[in-house]
Amino acid sequence: MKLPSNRRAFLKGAGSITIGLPLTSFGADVLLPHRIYGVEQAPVAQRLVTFSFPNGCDGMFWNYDSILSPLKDFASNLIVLKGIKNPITEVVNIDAHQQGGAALFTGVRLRDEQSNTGISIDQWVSNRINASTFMSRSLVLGVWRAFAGPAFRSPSWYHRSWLENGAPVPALIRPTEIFAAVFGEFSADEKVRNEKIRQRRSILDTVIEQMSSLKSDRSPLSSKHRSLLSDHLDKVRALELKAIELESRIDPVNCRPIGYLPPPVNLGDDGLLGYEHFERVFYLQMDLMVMALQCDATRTGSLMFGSGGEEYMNLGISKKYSDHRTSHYDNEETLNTYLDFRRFHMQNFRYLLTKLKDANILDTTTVVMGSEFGDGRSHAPSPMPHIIAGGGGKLLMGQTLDLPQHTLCDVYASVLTGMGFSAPTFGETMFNTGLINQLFKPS
Amino acid sequence: MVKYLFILFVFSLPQACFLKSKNASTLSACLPSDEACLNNYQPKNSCDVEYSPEQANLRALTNEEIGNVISDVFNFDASDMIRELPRRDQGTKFQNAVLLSPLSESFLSKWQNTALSLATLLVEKPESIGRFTKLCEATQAGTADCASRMVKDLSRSLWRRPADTESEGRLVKLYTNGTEPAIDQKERMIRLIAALLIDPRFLYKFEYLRGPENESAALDSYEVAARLAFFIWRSNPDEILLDRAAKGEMVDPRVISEETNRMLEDTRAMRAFKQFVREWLLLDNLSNLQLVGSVSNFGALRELTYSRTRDVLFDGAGGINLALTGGGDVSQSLISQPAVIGGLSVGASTSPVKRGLFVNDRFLCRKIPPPPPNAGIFKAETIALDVTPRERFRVHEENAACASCHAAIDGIGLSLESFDVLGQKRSQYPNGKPIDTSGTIRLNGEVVAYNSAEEMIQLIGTSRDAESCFTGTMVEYAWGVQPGEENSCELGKISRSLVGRPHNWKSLVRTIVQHPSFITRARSQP
Repeated sequence: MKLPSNRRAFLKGAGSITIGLPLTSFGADVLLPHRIYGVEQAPVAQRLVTFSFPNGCDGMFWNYDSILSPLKDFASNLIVLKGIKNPITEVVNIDAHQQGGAALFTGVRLRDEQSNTGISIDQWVSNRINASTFMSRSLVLGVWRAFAGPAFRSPSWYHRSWLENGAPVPALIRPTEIFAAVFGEFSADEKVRNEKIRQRRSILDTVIEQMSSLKSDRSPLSSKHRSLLSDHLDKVRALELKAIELESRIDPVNCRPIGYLPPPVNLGDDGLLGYEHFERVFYLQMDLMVMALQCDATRTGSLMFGSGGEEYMNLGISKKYSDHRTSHYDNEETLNTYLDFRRFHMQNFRYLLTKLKDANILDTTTVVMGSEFGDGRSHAPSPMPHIIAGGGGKLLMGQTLDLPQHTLCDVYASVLTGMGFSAPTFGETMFNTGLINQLFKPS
Repeated sequence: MVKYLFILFVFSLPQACFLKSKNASTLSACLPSDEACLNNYQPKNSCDVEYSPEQANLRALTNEEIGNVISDVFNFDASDMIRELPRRDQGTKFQNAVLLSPLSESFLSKWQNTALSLATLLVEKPESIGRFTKLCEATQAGTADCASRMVKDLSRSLWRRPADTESEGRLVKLYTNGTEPAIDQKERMIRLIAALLIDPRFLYKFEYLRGPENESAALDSYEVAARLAFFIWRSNPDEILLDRAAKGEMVDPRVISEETNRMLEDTRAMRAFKQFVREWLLLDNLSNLQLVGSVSNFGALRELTYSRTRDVLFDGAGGINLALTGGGDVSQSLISQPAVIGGLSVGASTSPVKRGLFVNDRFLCRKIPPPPPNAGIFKAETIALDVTPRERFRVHEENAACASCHAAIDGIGLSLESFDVLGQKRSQYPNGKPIDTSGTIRLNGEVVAYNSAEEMIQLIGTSRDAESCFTGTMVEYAWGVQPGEENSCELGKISRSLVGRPHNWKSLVRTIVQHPSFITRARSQP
């Protein structure tokens, strides 16, 4: 991949490109957005990001006087949720890190086969509002080793974003890889870019045109297969035109570059990221997430710091204990370290909120933050710590609510409803008790 | 004989647990526990019904098959790139199952970029594209004549038949395009290969019409070659098959038999067999096993199963029977293989329900409907430590709605409790309680009793039900679709033709490819 030597110059240049190349088989209007994406869509300003940290937080510390102190400045943009029930993990005899983590943001039980659970809220929203963005999909990022107590764990432990068919979406780790995923293989060189556009267009023209015989009346295909083929070609055409457009368009006004290229981060011999790199890489990931949202490369994302049960070590916090170990705190020393780790996660969250605010998109972005369970000593699934942050749409921000009668499914359904979607329930119906009225602005 | 064959057709009927057809015209209308229904079942005489389902006429290649084709045609290992393609697991027994839903936009989006990257990599490798480009080096590179020959070869290798004249013309034009500023040879090749890979004729396996849609017809030689290659290799036909197809020879049963024998000796057959075993025995599930305190080498456990199945089931004289019974040594039975049984656990504990379902589904082809949404789940905190699963499962017997399905699941699962989570024999639970492994099972149309898991495994392994099930499984794999009741007569013929011969992979392949359905394009249903 060729990265621009100077991102600012690259973005500036990219904005001025026009598409002046002839399309042999289509008129110019194919490049109008609604033709490219196949849908007429009113501009949607809403964005949704999920944010998770590992090993939970005991409900008694889930307040501004204790571990949420780093978030005080943002109180007017937050809803702190206490007492949220996780009835899903309560009924399933399976590790609470694993089951709680799979239920977090999905509201669905972990199925046995293939670690399947249901669709996560970021993907659910992505399906509805990402069609016209560059990436057309949720940006799933995270740092994780999935080493917990003490064994490497199966995929259901380290995924916080799930597709509709229950397939986990792996979190991208390396910033360079993320940059490529967000912006494609851009080149700062206009000539190179134009050549790539020509290349894609020439391939596309061929693929589309040579299909005429298969689609015509003298096609050797049955009517069913002809219609399948038509559908296939419509998609190919739309996707290729989008790729071409992606190569040639970026909005330099709203899309402010971070001013530097993401530095390379090497994974260890085991193919995993070392704990010593977690903090730095996670900050880079948050930078890239905000940049992607700002540039409208995507409108949804997922940020995960560590898998469930992650034995994350941070020498600045403790030379002795891992994050997971302290969640089983049993004396003053381990309790204090536990709280230090919790505050560390809240500092990270604060950084994300700050970046969103600086980018001027905090009020139009909803962030749902949480962890796989509450009290780490018992690994009790409930109450499950959650915070809703950002604009929240129709939600009334700036409050703290204790809601022992509501479940995590209710939280997600309410967040989506707050964003303007029709979502009376989310996740497994049997675990929904109803939208949370107190969350909404009085009408 | 006929009766037990129909055990094969207990297919998914989500509501079967609760809704029972008064007129049990299909066996699937009988609940697993309903002896009277099962005994009174009268199969339709279905030999007059057409075989080979319509869906077999078209299907999308699986991700794995795309990787196989790239590897076989270009001698290039693209597995890293293929792994990043969106997964398309549809919950079918085999990933090559025919799905009438078209490829998703997210898949195509990723594939189009992958195809371009792949083409860019391939043109740098003479060992990958040399055999195609040499056609043009011999004469003058870039001429329409050499381009046309290269396009013919490439399209034949990738699309499983040469491009039609019109498509060929377009591809030659793409390659020789003179309207653009001069582009070099490599760039021409990138465009050509990418266009071939993005084309639906690469991504889908089509079988063309040869007459009215509602009439079945013979496949042509290229289509038979493709069916053979995807059945035996899970990949495109090689040059030999394509050359024979070009001569129109592939529709001849003798040639099919000859080529089948050649293909079965090729390493690609073993690659496909391994993929079959992995999907059939759910070996990927092993990754869910959690053994706290030890990091298991799951890969090595899977290899054990591959090597066991290769020895016994690929071309072994014992076939499916020996694979199941282990020749009297249960530790050799497929049922107790660590990589198989290990994936049938919940967390780090054994799961009698999963094991029971697995044996029913995979070895006896008895589909048990999923539990109703309001089915209870045992709560961890309510399970007393001194209660055995058998005691706990009494609940299933007490509730008729549960019993209807669990009768067929629990007996097998509870007997298999004498194997621990990785298939090691044990005589008592960790809490010291003895394991009661006795039970009854319905086999060959009769209910038989057993005292131990060993006995049960012997009964299953030597049953005609298990043999028939393996036949049905292989046919499902070959067709890419579950045989329906209308195919039962033909399945019976296949199974009967194997009497006295082992029900192993190779002999079933040889039998299935000789069946008329293998060279027939099914009619389209209105």
